[in-house]
Amino acid sequence: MAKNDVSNHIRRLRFDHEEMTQQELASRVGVTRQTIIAMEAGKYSPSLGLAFRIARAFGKGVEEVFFLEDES
Amino acid sequence: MSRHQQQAWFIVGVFVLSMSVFVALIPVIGFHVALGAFGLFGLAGLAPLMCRKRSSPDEADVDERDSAILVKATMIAGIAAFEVCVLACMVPWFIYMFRGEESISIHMLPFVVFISGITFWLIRAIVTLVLYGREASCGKE
Repeated sequence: MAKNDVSNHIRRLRFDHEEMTQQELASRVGVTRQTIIAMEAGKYSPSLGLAFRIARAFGKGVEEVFFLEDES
Repeated sequence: MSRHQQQAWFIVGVFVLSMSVFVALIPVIGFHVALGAFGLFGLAGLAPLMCRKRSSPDEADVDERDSAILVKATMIAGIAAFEVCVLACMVPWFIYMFRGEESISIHMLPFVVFISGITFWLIRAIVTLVLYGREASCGKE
């Protein structure tokens, strides 16, 4: 079975976007702040829909925000 | 703290209350009658009324991660409750059979329902808290 460890650049992108807080990002994409914390810590992989919403909140494509760890 | 976490803490609290009353009543009215204290666990049914007040209207109440945690906790609790139910049904049956008795005490029926139900709700609450705790251990700002 293929390994599916999805990682992300959310933390870096938040700081690149005028130091956006976790709560601001959470409100923009419609999740709780705890979910943003879990994603940044690599403990939760979002659904496809949420991944798209997060990428759009940063004005990026999904693959610019999320990536498979074995491809990094 | 999410709504599911609040509900889980409420259920654990109700269990601790029931257990405390049960232990306190044993010397007064005896073990079997004191089991009635677990009737207090019915208060766990009020858990869905637990609802966190949102600090702002933009803030999400429950999201996909909360739902995923609840599904996982429910599955684990269901498996545990099934195992306990099977044990609670079969073990007394074997004991009675080896004693050569033809019938099982009527008191066993509510006991099987009680022990299965309490296992489900308690395990579900504990697993929910563990899963939330695991993910919240780092990364906060």
